[in-house]
Amino acid sequence: MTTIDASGPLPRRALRALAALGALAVVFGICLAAVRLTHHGPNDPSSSGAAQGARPLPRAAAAPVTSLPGLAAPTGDPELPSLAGLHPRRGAAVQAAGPFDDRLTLADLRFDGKAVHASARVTSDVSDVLEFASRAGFYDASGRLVATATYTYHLDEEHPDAHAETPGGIPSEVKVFSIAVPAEARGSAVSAAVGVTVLVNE
Amino acid sequence: MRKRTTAATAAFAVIAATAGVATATALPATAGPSGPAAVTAAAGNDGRVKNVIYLLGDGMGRTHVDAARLRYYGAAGRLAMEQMPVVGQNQTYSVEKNSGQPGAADFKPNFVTDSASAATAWASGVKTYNAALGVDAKGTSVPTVMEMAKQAGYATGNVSTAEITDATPAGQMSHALARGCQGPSYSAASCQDTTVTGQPLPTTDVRVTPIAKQIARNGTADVILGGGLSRFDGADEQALREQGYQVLGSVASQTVATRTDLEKSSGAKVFGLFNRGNLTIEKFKRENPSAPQAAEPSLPEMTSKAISLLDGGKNAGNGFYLQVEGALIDKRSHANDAAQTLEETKAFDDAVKVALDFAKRDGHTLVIVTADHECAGFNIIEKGTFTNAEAAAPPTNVDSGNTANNSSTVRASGNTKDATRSTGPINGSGAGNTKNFAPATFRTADDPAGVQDGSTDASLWLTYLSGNHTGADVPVYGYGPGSQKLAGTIDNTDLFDIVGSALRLS
Repeated sequence: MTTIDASGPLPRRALRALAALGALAVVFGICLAAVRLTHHGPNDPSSSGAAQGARPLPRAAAAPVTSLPGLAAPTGDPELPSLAGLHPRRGAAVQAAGPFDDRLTLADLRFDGKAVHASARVTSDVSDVLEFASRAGFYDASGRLVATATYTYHLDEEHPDAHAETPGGIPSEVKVFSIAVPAEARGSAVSAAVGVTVLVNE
Repeated sequence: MRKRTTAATAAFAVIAATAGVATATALPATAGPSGPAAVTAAAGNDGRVKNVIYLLGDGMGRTHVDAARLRYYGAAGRLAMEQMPVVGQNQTYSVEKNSGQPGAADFKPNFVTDSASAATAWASGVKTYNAALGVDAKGTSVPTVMEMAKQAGYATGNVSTAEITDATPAGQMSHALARGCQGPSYSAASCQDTTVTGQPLPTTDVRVTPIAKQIARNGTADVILGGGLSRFDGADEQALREQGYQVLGSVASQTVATRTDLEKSSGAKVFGLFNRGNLTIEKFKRENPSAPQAAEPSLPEMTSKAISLLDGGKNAGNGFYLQVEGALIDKRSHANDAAQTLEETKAFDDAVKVALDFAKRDGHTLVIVTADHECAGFNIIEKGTFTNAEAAAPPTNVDSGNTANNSSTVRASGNTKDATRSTGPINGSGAGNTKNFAPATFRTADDPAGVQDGSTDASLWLTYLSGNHTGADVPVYGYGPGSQKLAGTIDNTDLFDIVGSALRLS
């Protein structure tokens, strides 16, 4: 029977073999560390969900999104389609439907032959009105729409009294306005309609 | 001899291999974001950020947080946001039109910001003028962190209790010279700003394109939840569907989506608007459970659903960036309504809890809570006292013991209540007086049972300074990897760098 004798020095060839094996093992450990350092685990956005496959590392986008394919550029200020379907009687000033009617009440409507007058009270919000626009239609004796015109309000933050009440103690959430009959309709306009086309609160 | 060699070789190999593995184990798992992790590995976080949830209490100043804590949890209690480990404060100033950035020769600060310029600060990292969105003070479009995240492969979400075209949500997914250019239609008055651009821009320029048109077409946010249905039209709905969005409700017929619609929603891209304007305050929904508005989801519900959509399904594994806004804190502070303000702050904090619960489970999420500005000078006054607004004159300002300390315009007397301006707690005996400047009073958890809101026995007395924004710094709270960068005093533009760094965008 052969016995294992561990006593005494190892021969040179055996020592070389041991050294090589040991070096290989250390290299293995270092490679394992390198893999852990660079592996993109499931929590890294550059790794994919199982359904998508591998994806490249994320790249920062430096450019803002400024292209909107398929969107036709507007040619002017908004119209109020509901004006075309109204035929107010002589001397009347009526409200035309608009996209923000659930946010305001129009009151004090009147037509004096030269202009239509109204007040709009914003009921949906109490912060400053940033933008307000109303569109008026003017009608002849047969009820035909003959002209339109617009009133606009824009809160100018640069103005020192930007957040103050308007003269007469009118709070900023009420817009009192008048829209004059355009020149081409003077003499023929006998009634008016008005609606709100733009409304933005802060 | 041979067996001795074999045994020795095997032993040496095992020792060497063990040393190699031990070396590998000792090294960090990954090169994570800059800075050490704020939460230890024992808390389930090893420093890697996969998601960022950014919660914004619009108008939420220091006192809004304090008052909500006292109201709902008592003096010894804490809101969810107050339990986050990192605390700081955020400077919010904006700049004038055409100003340079801080440090530039043409730098002109404006000490009181609005929501638009504040949103641009954290979304794009630049100071700009009030009303500007996604452009610097000279009108140049700048990328937003949500655009960058989206283009880098993250899923993105934008949730608000305001119209989704309003400043805070729009600051992440649009570029506009003026926040009033919201839609549904373009108008020169609301969209152009020749003070900045010199000449009117062509209507093909994105900076004068109604924000609703941009949101419906740029695909920047995958999940969009909030209000503002009236800003969108049928063409916008078609554009959304063509990009693969699941559209809740109907834009073309102006039919708002409901909580039920939200609960049933699925997919990678969801567009849901639950009111034609801003969403309804929680107080009204609570007091009117049968009203149509009660079908609107709350901010915590929208936050929870947004997280599930962004973290699961087709978005799973991508990581996400989600912005959540509690907008009605600001809007009801403008109204000086403390009762509504408190409930909106509580709802916002409940949304924060939803985000934190997810972050703690996930282990790789940075949560940031802050505000854009303070609104209305909200304050807590001592029980039984009164404010300047209730007084006949300002306080006395003399020092009889050392007259050198007197103020320049001497007021030897004053600081008495004016009965016409202070007719009892505004939510109590003085409720019917529309010119009443008295505080609103609220019971807290520390009050004896039977103490009512609106009574002088209630311990929490709340007042407002004005109906507008103030220039005070606002609180910042952070949880998760990289959150230590939020500690101390930061500028609101720093938030862009912090989020961008966390997501490895910059």
